[in-house]
Amino acid sequence: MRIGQWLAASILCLLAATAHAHAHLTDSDPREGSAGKAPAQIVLTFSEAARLTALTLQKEGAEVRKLAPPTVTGMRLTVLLPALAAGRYVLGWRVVGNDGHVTSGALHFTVVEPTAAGAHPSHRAV
Amino acid sequence: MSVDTLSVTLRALAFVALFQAGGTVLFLAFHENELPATGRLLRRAGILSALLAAILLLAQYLLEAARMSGEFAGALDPTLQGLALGSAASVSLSWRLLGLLLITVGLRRRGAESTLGVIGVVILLAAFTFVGHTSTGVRRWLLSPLLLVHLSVVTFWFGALLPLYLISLREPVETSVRIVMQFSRRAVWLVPGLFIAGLTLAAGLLPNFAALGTPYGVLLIAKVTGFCVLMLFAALNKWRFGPALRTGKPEAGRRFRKALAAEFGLIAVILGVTAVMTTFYSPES
Repeated sequence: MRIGQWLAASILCLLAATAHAHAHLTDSDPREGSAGKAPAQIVLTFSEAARLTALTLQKEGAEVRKLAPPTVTGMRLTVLLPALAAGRYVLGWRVVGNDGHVTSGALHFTVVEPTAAGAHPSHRAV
Repeated sequence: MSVDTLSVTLRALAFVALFQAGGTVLFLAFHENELPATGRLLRRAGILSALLAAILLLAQYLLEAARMSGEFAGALDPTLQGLALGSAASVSLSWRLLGLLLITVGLRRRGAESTLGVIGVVILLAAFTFVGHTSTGVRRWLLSPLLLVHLSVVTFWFGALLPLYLISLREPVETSVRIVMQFSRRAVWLVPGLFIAGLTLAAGLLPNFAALGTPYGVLLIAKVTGFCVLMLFAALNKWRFGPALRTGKPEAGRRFRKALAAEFGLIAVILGVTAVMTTFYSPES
């Protein structure tokens, strides 16, 4: 009887078709630790299709700002940014993969050349 | 306490409760007829563990929406709850709850219903292979069964510690000694299987040797170190404290139970490390 049960379990695990591992960040634009012109957007690339569920942006020495995450699911997710002044920033993100696993991380970048006035519309802050 | 900390704490406690419930079923499947003074108590302990595991799993699942937002308020967000509900994690949770239900029913009485408990354990453990790192990629055909072997031995080992503790307190000396020796004989074959399956899993999951330096790798090393210490306690029980029970001296029983309690505590810590490792980190990242 026990052998039959173990066999059933093996079949069950082989048939589980909806399985995925955690989504993790594989690339970003701008890159982690980069410095340069204020980006109008950030592109986050994940190891598998994921959906952003929380986004925060914090300038060094300033309050954390919540940003509205895009509601699409994909491996490459684009985050629109508000106008940025010169300084060091941390973009905090949380994503949920197809398996429901939540992963979080942070992207650090430095703005050397701030956003020109009227260069791009401010992102809707939550 | 942050939402992440609470979530991983619930997950770790759920691991402890569900392996205890499953292990109690396996232990009773082997020994129930030999335990007139402890069998009923063990069945109750198993049922309690299964119910506790179900509550902890549900609480952790409900908190997933909060983890998605990074705030407790997220638990009330219908969009995020919808994301959690539509995920494979909810499928896995359903199977785990079914497994725990069967365990509870199976432990209610002896005889035919106890088979339900064993089926419940199989379902409970198989549900681990539906999500997570072993369930993806081309080597899944190897990693999922290996995980199943690994978890089965953990269940057998961890779940036997409380029964052995209670038996050494409540059953006659000769019964205690006989069951401890039987357990040790099985463990000699099974525990190396746990280690080999664990190592093979690690080799299959980690992309390269350097990944041992990542948080996932460091926690994996912590688990292996914990396992080595555990082997020390297991060896003491097998060759020293277990056989010493034959003397019938109260001191021998106390030493044996202390070593069992240490093993229990250490495995619980390893399960906690596993919860942190599998919640926050990925072998590839």
